[in-house]
Amino acid sequence: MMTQEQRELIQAAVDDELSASERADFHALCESSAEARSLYEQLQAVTHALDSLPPLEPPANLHAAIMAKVSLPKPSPLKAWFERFSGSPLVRYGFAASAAVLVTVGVYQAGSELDSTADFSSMVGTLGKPGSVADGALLDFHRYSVADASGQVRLLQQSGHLALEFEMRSSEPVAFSVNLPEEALQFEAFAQQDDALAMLRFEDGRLLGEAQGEQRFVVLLKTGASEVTTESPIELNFMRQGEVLDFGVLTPTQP
Amino acid sequence: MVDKDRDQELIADCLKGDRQALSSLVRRYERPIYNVSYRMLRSPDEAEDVAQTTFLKAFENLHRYNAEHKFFSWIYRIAVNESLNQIRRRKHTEQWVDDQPAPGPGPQSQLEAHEVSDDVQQALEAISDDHRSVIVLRHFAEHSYREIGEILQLPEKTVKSRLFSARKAMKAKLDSKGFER
Repeated sequence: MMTQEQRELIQAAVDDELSASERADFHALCESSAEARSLYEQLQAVTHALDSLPPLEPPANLHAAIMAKVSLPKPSPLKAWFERFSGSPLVRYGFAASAAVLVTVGVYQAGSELDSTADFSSMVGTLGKPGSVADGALLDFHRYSVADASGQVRLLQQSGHLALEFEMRSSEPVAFSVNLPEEALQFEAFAQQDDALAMLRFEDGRLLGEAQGEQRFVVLLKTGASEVTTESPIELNFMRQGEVLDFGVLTPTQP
Repeated sequence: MVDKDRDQELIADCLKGDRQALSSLVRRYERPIYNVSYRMLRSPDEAEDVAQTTFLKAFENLHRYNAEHKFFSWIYRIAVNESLNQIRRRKHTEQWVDDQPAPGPGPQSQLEAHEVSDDVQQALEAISDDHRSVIVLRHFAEHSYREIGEILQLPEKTVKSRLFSARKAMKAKLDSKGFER
């Protein structure tokens, strides 16, 4: 009966993973044991059988299909901070206030639990209840009611920042996107009351998300280098299965 | 073998938003990732889906990639896990992939390859998921024991014993089919 070490020695010979000293041990073993020689031949046979399966060429369009779908994450100095603390109870229960100072998005109170299954991989900022975000002047709003989906998005002016306050209700998932005017506005942070958002991320100047049930959350925006004018509309799209349910535009200037 | 330093250069460029670097990384890995996925699943369509998902997940989370580890370990791990997820979904929905020929250059050579390798592929499919994972990484991605351990997050000793068990299981399946070479 062979030991486990001897079996592994023979397997390593099949896989050409023997050191010089192990190679000598392997040859000595095979010379002295018919069982070892038999096992070596069995393992070799399996290896040859597997080698008979030819390498496959991937579909010709695979590269293009991947390239069409991948968008590279935008580097953000705030991202590391968020990721470092997003799993910490400190964020959920009390760290938000000091964090807000760091990212200059204002002061939040303790937020709700993060949904550990949600994809917030591209988000930065802090979390908190939308109600804890100080109300600001209402600049514009958009309401929608299509099929089972209804809700509103309010654009608020806060001290040095703009806030998009979402209220969404639907029995089936609704995807949404917020196109921000390039350079004029930048995503800064978000606050979430409920924890059932399936996904929320920011990429290529757009905020993308998906919601189901009743959702309330706030997205904070900061002004970029360019002045925010009526020429800098914020476009809203609500979609389901690739079809647009509703479309709206918010104008980030005082009425 | 993959040039790990080149991987790190490309990843650094990707994180700066360089899509050419992204394209190069896809080129470097699309073939082995597709092969691993196909050998795990024996379905060209599912293998293509898994390969796409693998790259999407890898690049969407590229900022989380720890440069202290090898990129190929990370992306292969995603591919294996996605393949195993697909197998679980398949079992859950009671769908079964059968008699799907491997993609090849043409019908005739495809048929010949099918005749030669069908028993082997069926034996591969008949062993456990854990066994198939180590076999596929060893034989179709040509990874060392240590690399397989990094990919599957297993001690090297476990990789060796699992690979041995997997080969014995393969041998038994091949014997039952009267396979000879």
